[in-house]
Amino acid sequence: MNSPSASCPGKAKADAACEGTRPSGGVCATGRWRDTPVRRTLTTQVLVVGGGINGAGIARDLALRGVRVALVEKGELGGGTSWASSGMIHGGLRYLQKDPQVTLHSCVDSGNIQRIAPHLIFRIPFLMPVFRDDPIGPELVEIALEMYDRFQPFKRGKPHTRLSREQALRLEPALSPQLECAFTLDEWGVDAARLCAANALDAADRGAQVRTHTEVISLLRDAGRVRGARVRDGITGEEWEIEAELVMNAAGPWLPKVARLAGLEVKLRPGKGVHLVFERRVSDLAIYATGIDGRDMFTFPHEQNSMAGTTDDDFYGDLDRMETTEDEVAYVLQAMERSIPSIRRHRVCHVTAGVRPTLFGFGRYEDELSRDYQVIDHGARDGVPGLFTIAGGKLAAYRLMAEDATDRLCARLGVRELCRTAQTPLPGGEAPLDVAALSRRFRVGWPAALRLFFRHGAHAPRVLEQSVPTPFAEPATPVPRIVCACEPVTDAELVHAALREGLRTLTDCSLRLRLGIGACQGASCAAAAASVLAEALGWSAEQTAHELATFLAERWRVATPALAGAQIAALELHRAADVGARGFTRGDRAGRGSEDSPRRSASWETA
Amino acid sequence: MRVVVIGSGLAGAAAALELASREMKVTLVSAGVGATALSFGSLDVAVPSPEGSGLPLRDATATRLLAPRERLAACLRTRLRHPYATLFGRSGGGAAESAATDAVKSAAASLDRWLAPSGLRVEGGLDAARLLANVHGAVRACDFAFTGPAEGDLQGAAEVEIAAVTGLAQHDARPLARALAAEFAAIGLPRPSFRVVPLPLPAGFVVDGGSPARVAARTDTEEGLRALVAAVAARHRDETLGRRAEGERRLLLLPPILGFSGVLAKLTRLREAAGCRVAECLGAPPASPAGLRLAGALAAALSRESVVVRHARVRTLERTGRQLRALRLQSREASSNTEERLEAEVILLACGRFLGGGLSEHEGGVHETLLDLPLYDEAGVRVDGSAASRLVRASPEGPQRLFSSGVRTDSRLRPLGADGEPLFENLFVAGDLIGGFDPSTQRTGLGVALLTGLRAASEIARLAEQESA
Repeated sequence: MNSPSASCPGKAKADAACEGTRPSGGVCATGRWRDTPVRRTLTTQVLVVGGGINGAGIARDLALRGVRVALVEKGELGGGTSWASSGMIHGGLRYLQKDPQVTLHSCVDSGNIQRIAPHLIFRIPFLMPVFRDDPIGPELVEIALEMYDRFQPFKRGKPHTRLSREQALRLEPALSPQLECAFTLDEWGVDAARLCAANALDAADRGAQVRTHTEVISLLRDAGRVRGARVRDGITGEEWEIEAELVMNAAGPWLPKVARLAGLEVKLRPGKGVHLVFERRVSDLAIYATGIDGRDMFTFPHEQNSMAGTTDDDFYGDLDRMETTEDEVAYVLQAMERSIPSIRRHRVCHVTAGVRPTLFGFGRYEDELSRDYQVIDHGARDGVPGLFTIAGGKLAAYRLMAEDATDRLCARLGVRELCRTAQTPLPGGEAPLDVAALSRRFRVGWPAALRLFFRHGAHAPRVLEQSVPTPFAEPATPVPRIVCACEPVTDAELVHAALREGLRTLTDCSLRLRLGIGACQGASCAAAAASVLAEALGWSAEQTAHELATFLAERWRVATPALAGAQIAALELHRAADVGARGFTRGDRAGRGSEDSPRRSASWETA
Repeated sequence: MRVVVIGSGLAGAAAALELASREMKVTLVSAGVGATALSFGSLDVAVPSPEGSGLPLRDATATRLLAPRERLAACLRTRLRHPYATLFGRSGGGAAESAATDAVKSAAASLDRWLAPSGLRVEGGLDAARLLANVHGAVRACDFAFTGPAEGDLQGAAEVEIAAVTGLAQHDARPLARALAAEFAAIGLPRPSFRVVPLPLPAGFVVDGGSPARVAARTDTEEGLRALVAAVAARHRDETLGRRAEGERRLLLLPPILGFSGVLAKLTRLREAAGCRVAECLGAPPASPAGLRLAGALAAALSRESVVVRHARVRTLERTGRQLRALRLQSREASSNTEERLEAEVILLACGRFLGGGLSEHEGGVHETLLDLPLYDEAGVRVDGSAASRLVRASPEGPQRLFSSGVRTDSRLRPLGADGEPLFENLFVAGDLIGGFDPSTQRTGLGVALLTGLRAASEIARLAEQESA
């Protein structure tokens, strides 16, 4: 096994910093968890399967209540449905009519999430244009919004306003001049992958064992009872066992597959949703648009980009090989064009696709299915004790769902602690931060400091201290270098993620740090980021080349479905740059039709 | 005869300079930067291997690397729709190969002559490739290279010192060294020793998050260059580094920070200070001044040869039957929206592919921008009007039809219509806009640009002679 280079100074420093200050939980043991051989069997109280928002939220709640927990995720934290969501902590105006329970839960929990992780949340004001031929006239829309206003205080949202046509066009000149009037309403956005990671990292800080790229391949049974799982590390190929009193199946759209390992059936109606991501902000406000079939969608500013979506279609395909189709792209753009006629002039740099683990319901359109959630005790329902499943739900209500699930797990374990997840801040959310001072102290540009704060909150200074001391560095505090200019991402943050957050592959950086998902799609930053991680994690040259190839293949895969306009020239340049920079190790397989395009990094045997 | 060249990349500029040297009146219209300005520092004319792409670049017995001359011959034999086939013939016989090698030698000499006054030379030849390192440690076999990277041939070096500059982004010396070692293991040639050496530059030299472009710009100032030279000299005198090889057998590899002009003079000073060979890595985005150096040197050459350069975008071309009459330009200089009309008797299209704007997407399909000329991929299948997403694969590996498509031409470099006949009597095309090859994987991008640019110029000159006769 390739042990990280002992001469890597950054790692030694991080190791020293952590010595004796943390329980030897999985993720935060600064690379130690990779060094030590994995014990053949790990024993714990609860094994959580799935590191999406629900799994991470449940692991955190359990850890906060002092329960020993292990969390395994077969890819990267949040890399399934959570990351492909709209990334909004929103109330769900849509559900007011049929599912008001959902709206209430989401709004209340949005308020909680704001309190515990204010740095991860950002306000997204929405603008809803009303056109003459809309099925619902402005008066009815306003009634709905007035109802929704009553939920806004739960999430510190502002009440709606009504704008005249002129006022709306002044606010957003790109709007279609056909509109009659417009309404504004208030929602919140979130970096969903970072929210997952924050929950998982907090759990690890409190003693949980968190492992990514680790998949459950079978469940351990004892007569009818589930007593744990056998897992496989996708990167090293090692297999080992986790014994647990209870197993929590939080695998999202993969949960039926996990349930089947116990011979059980949990029915879902998986609903696929895609988003188009523009390489920059297209508008200041989120703008509603109506699809050809009457569905509501929007183009909304999100972090450094704008996103357009989403769709909702029954999905029957392979969850691990999901592609975005021409139809989906055309459907979304057609809808956006009605509200923003110039939308096609903007460059879509990539698409995201994910599947909602929607509760099963027969005979209804995807949109009309309930967004409520369910916690299933398979002991009570199916006579298979030791296994629980959580299905359905919305990102915005994750904390509430986790509380409910954890209550039930704790009842079974006989643990009496109360839930504290609504009051306890997530890592970084403890206090505000003077970003200007941070920028001055570490001599890093203000935009980079700000983005770092958005991801790490009050822990940002700790991150910047990880700046790689390049060999023979003169200044005592090395100055962070900008690796990804689009975000921006500093080398310090990469090293911190590798050594202190258990980041394992270059592709994980797209989610954890938003590396290479902007205009350049990694063309300008992936190779440099790979070098920085190679130093931190001790990758060989071959592994570094493999990581880079996998990363760029993924960026290509998500850029090509919406290929149009200026994006073609961008892809031409990115490809020329990548192929032009290949040497003998990565090879030049472009001439021979190579079909393999792994969605996740293939099993890599570290030499 | 009034000739207008559209496009100021290597193809357009080479054509304009060749025409100017034959005393013809040339106007060159440039809309901005394209692929040439984004190149990395090498000029490849031959494909990497007999299959046209893919490595290794070895002969059948796998004992040695193929010479550029041999690879060029292989390209002529196997790639029947490559522009080289148009230029030099499709026969497998020696005639095509000797025509090609003569053309390459003459083209390289012309380009060297044009660029030399800007401190940029063209080094290399068809007998042996240079193995050059890029900024991330990949090794490329380059047929020709420009001053800066050109001196960095890893073959024949016993020791390679990789300079580490504190705080420079996009450059990590130790992973670079490890990558180079792995590359040589993959190549199977005797390996130089690789060592990382510090290059202490004064405080304030590296700023702005380590931006490589900012550091490169500093060495364009005398003060900045002197600091770099001093740092290099200090390393040379540093006895703690032990006994080292002298002269040609030691190579100091710098990150791509040698600025945007006057590279030859800078390297001379650095070589003196270092007591050994000094070279720059090949670039990779965003750390690649080489392309901008080339573009700058070409612009300087155009200016010296009194070629009129208009900074404008061509909106449309006016035609009467099969003759093009004039161009309608939108100036990039003026702030007004007025169009200008420029008359022309011969037009050369050298605007590249998507990056340069020669190809674009319109109403859901790809098209040639100005005249909607039919486009063909490497297999000869017509592709204009197809959606871009259907012309690429889900994986970046494998042939991508979108990036091997372009205009089809006759042997005189006149673009052909669907019926296989030239569409216009006075229109020529050069550079990447010609289809039938993939500039990225086949690595012949700049080679095609240079050779077709010069050939188009001689065809246009021949046309002028015929007209005046």
